[in-house]
Amino acid sequence: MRQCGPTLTPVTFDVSIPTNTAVSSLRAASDLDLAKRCCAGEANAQRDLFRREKRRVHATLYRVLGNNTPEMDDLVQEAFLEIFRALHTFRGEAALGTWIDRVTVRVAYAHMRRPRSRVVALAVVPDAPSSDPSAEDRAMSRDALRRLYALLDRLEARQRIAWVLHVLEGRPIAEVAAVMEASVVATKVRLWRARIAIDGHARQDPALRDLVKTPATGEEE
Amino acid sequence: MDPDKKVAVTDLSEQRWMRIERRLFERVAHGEADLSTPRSRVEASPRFRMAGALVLAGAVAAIGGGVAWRALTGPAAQAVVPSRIATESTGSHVSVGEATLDIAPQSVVAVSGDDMNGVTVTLEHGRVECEVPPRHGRPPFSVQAGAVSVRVVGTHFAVSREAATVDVNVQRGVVAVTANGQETAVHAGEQWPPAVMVAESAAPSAVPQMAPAAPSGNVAPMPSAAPASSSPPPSPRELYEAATRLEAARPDLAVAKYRALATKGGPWGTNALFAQGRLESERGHVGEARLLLEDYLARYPSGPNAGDARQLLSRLR
Repeated sequence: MRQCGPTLTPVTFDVSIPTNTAVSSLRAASDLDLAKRCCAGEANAQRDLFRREKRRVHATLYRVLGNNTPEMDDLVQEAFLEIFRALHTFRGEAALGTWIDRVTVRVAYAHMRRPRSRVVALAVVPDAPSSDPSAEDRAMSRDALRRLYALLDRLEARQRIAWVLHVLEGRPIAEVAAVMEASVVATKVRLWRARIAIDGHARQDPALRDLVKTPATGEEE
Repeated sequence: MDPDKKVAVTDLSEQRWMRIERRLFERVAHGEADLSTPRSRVEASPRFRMAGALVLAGAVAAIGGGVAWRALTGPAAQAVVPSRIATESTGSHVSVGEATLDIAPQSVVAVSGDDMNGVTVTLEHGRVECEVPPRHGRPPFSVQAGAVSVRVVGTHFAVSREAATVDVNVQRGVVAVTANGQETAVHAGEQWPPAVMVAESAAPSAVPQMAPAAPSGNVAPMPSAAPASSSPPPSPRELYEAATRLEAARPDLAVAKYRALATKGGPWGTNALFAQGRLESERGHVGEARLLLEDYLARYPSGPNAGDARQLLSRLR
C-alpha cells in the first residue's frame, strides 16, 4: 500500500493502457473464438452469443419495422437461427456485431417481402398521466413516429431499410452498404429515392422534420 | 441527433426474453440451426436476388416490371390482415395492441376488434395465455371459448379448451368468467372451473351444459384419458406437447407426463426433465424443483437447457 508521510517515495504503477488497435484485435479474437465455439455446437457459447447480442438484434428489427410487431419473438428467433447457421462463414474480418446486423437485416427484409400474415396490429398508446408535463410531448413524438412509419410502409423494402439504418440509426453510408450487402452507389440511390418520398411529407409536418434530418456523418450523398 | 432519441426502442419484457430464449434453444436442440437444415429464403441476400432478377429482366421488364412494382408498392400497404392463427408444433407469440398472447402449440385462435372498440379473442382449440395491461376505461378485452366468456380488466391469465372443456387459470389480477349466463369472478392463483366442478364436468351428462352445440357423444375425452387402443402410441414429441398444453390448467398432470417422458430418456426426455423442474419452480415447489434441476445438470451438463437450469437454480437458492 502506498504510504503518506514527510518522505514521499515516488511510486510507479506499471499500467499499460491498451491502444484502440489492441482492443480491436482482442475483441476480434474473442469474437472469432466465440463463433468457433458456437459452430462446434457448444450450447453455452450459443447462449452467451444470444445473451450478448439479443438487444442489438432486437433494436435493429425494431427500428426497421417500427414497433414490437406481433411476429417480433419469431423474428428474433429466426435471426439467431440464421446467425447460428451462417456462423461458419464468419472470418472475423468485420466486427461480429456488424456481421450480425447483416444477418438481422436479411431477416427483416425477408419478413417485409412476405405476404402480410399478422394479426390485427392495433395502435399501442400507453396511458400517460395527465399531470406529467412531458406527457403531451411524448404523445406528439409517438404520433410523429406513427406517421413516419406509415410513410415508410409505402417504400420498397430495401429503400426503407437503407433509410432507417442511415437516418434513424445514424450509420454512415458505407456501413449501410456493407450491412445490406450492396454497393455504395446502390445504397445512395436507395437513400435518394426514400428521401424523395419522405421529405415532401416532412416539409408539411414540423414534427417529422427532426426525425427525418440526415445525420452528420461527414459524407456526401 | 442521437438515434436513440429519434426512435427509442421499447425493450421486450424479461419474461418475453426468457420465452424467446427457451424457444430458440428448443429449436436449436431440434436441429433447426444445423447447416444441413434446408436454407430458407432469408439467406438469399438482396444482392443475389438482384442478380437473379437481372437475368430475367430482359424478358419481363416491359410488362412484368410495371405489374410487379404496383404489387410491391401499392396495395401491400393496405393488405387484408387475417386475424386467425393456427399454430402447429411450435406455438406462437403475438401482440394485439398492448396485450400479448402466447398461443400454445396445436391451438387455433381468432382475434377481432381493436383497442378503441374492444378486443375479442376466440379460442377455437388449445390454449392461449394472455397478458393484458389495465384497460383504463377502454372497452373490454375478452376471450371467448365455446360457451364460456372471460372478460378482462387487466391481468395475466390462461384459457385452455379441449372440445367442450374450458379451463381458466389466473396468474394476476381478476377476470370475470361467464358460463350459462352466470358470471364468476376468478382471482389471482385461482382457476375456473373449481376442482369440484371439473370432477362433475368429466361426467358426460354435465358437459352439454357447458357447450350445448357439442353433443355429449362427441365430447373429447379429458386430457388425462388414455388414447384408444387401436390408435398408434403417441410419439415422445406429442407427449411433450400434450404436457405443455396441460401446464396451466392441470399442472399435476403435466408434471406426471413430463416425469414419465423423462424416465424414457432421449432428446424429448431431456427436455421433459428440465420442463418438469421449471414447472415445479413455477408452482412454488422449490425443493422438488431444485432436485430435478440438479438432476438435469448432473445428467446433461451441456444439455440444451443447462444454462436455464443453472439460472433457475441460482434463483431458487
